[in-house]
Amino acid sequence: MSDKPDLNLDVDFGNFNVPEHHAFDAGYGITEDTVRYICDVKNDPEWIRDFRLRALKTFQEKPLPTHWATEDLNNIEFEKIRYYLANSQEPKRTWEEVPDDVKRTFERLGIPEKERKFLAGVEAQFDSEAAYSNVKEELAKEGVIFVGSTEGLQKHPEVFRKWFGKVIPTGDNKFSALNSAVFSGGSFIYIPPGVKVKHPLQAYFRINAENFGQFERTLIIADEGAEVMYMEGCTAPRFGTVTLHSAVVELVACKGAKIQYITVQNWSPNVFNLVTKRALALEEAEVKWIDCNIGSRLTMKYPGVVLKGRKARGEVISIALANNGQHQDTGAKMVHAADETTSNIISKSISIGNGRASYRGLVHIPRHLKGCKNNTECDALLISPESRTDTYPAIVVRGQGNSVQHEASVSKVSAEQIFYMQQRGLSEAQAMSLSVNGFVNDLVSQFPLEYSIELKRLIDLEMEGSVG
Amino acid sequence: MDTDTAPRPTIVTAPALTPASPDWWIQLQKNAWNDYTSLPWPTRKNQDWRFASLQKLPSTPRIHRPEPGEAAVSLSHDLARIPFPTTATMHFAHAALASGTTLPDDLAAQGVIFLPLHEAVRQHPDLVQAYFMKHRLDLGSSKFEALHAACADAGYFLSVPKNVEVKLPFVFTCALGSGSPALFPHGIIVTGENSRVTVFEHISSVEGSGAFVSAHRDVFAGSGASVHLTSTQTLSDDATTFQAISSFVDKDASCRSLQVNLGASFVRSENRSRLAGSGARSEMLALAIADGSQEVDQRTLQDHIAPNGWSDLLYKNALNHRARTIFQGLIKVEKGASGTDAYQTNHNLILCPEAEADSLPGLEILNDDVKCSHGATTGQVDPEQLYYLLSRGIPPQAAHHLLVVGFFDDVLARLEEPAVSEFLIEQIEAKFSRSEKLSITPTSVTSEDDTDPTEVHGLQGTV
Repeated sequence: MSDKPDLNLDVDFGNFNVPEHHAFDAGYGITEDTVRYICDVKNDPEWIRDFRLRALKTFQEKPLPTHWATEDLNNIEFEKIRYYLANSQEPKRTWEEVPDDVKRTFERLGIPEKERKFLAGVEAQFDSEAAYSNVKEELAKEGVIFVGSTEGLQKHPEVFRKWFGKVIPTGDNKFSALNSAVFSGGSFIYIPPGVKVKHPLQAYFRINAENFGQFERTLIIADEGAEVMYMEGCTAPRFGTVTLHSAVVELVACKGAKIQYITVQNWSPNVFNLVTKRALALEEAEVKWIDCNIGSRLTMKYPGVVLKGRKARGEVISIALANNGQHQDTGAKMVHAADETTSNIISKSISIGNGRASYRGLVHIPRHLKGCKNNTECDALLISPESRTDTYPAIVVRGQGNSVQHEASVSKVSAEQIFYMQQRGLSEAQAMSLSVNGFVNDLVSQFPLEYSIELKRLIDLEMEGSVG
Repeated sequence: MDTDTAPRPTIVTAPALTPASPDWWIQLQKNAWNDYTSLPWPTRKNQDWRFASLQKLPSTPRIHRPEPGEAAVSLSHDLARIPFPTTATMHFAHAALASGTTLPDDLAAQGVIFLPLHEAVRQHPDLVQAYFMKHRLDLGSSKFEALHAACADAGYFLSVPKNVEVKLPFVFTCALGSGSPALFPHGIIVTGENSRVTVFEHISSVEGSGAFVSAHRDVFAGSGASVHLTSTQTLSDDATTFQAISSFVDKDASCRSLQVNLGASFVRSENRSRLAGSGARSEMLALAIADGSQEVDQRTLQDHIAPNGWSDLLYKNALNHRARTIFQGLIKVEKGASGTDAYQTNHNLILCPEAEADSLPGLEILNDDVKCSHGATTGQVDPEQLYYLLSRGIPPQAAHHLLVVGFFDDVLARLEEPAVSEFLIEQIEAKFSRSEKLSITPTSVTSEDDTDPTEVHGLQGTV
């Protein structure tokens, strides 16, 4: 197959690196001293200091969850990771203050400047700290807080402290404990009651220093009747040795609030991406996770919603693409904790080459609950004979008038479809690409426009060279 | 849970089947006993036991083998009254053969073998050695498989040679009396090329038996052969039982197994089908009615090793009172198993808000040329259907029963022997009338959060 699709693709997309210079560096490995160093540099209040040190203990005590998860986790060399790097402590306020090399990175990633006008505020994270932070004035006037997590905990402790670590306790799992010990960066967002943020809030994350784990911590609170959409996109430059990304994202949707959290990730194939994401939905609130995982060596991510209030609704829409040497272990958790709560999970995965995509899910409806409903659909597409896919859902149901349905299917690209398209003059690769895009199309169309375009481009990129 | 604290006779070395057993068999059982004692006890950290109430397992299964009393013998006679025509039967009271009918002469002449296990051990040592627990299940109960191998007693060996088709079912029943007896029934079914056989098993006990039953079947379907196996257990509600089926399905052969679990307080059911030859077909069916505080823990594996295999699993559970069912299934498609067509379905019908149904249908697919799907649903009786029946003057209890029988209908309809289906429906009806007698007072609906610590544990497992 010599005919490459004429899609104007930048093949070097994401393949770059800029010289490193960091003002603060906590060195390699993790000890109490590392954590104290981070606290000192960030000038953490006393309660966060205690919180971090307790979390470190939990992290050290907890075993890796290899009794159910992949053994590949054993290959993470925690002592060879740098846990904190930052080139400046104050988030930049204006675009002019952003260093040139950082700007160059952004440009390579295809974030055009004009796009920023369209977006309500760009909170771009470069390594640990937000390198650029700007919230449009109108949002500030409405009382919306959109800052980095450090600034959030220092300047808005009254809201921050109330919810921080409440949705995802430190001891939830080994990696949430690690994040709790060394977190830096990430966003803190508070939407006051009744405020409906018109434009999506957006943040870009990326890893740039070799062997450097990024541990951002995001907390979003939508007060009663508030609405917000948050978008997060990740790309990482390619490196030879392993890096670790372990974020914790907590969402709180108060009564009648709506939160949409959108992620498009394209990690380089050496990254361990072990993320804990969970939302708390109170009465009549709606939380929707839209999640797209591409790249990384191993991704383990199961966005969840705890449906705590009556008639709360949770939804997870997820797309995973596992290419050669990659394992996408993703899924969703729906914990029903109030009457008449509903949840919906739609997951589609694509395995290319010897890539492996796993769906792992949990639906939990305890007794004494009435009228809860869950729908789960998982579809997997296998591209090559060496591809692998797994589905491991867990469904626990009690109570009255609750109903749960789960469906999963596995298939390969239909030979007839490919034949038909080839007959119409498309190359096999183009036909495959089209077919795969068709497989995920109904989910992609739920993404905001610019993301769905980016996503299609990423899928085309990943499909390149997988056929023929 | 078994709260019986009376001293239990525990035998510390595995007892041999009968004094007359050959040395190799005694040695085999001794080795298995050593395996049993050295293997670790399952914990909930083990994914194969996730969600199981391990405290319901007797901490050391008492291997107590009282002589079958009158009750067991009389139950055995009841079981012998199978209401459908059979080829040959064996009815055990505990580990002793109480009655039975012998193989028709023409079949014996064609080379069909149908012997009690202890006879087969003596008469056909090569055959038993070749097939006895040859393919382990490896679904979490290794320790109990070893225990079974060490103690296998009541049982049968059935071999049908090439091109022999036996229409009517072979029947094997076991009856247990009171006094906490332990029994380890073992069935071996071996079929030659293009042969055909049907087996029906029924294990039952008197009320308050306190029995421990570990039943195991080895099924070998030779090229082009067809094996149908139905096994039913109606043990008393204080019994503990392991029910295992390991089937090996060769080229173009087909195997259909149906497990019917109606009794026992704790049931661990495991079923693994190896689709080892090209074009093999395997149907795995099960139905359970759980009430009181019964727990039915089901583990299945559709193991596609060879290309062009077809497997279809359908497990249906109806739950009443505080009962609990767990279904954890897996379709595994190995690299070489292209052209696989596999389905896995689990439906749970919750009749009481206190009941709990856990469902973990899994897929592991290592080949791209497959068609696989699984589905799981958990729900209640359709209120409209119930309303319709009530408006026709049918009392609520009877209407519920009708709907439950209707719920199982698509499993029963797959049996090609209407007489067997009818017999099973009778057993289901009997279960209902027992169920009604259970005076379960629903635990008061407390306001406290439903956080039993074990579940929190389960939750954290998937973070």
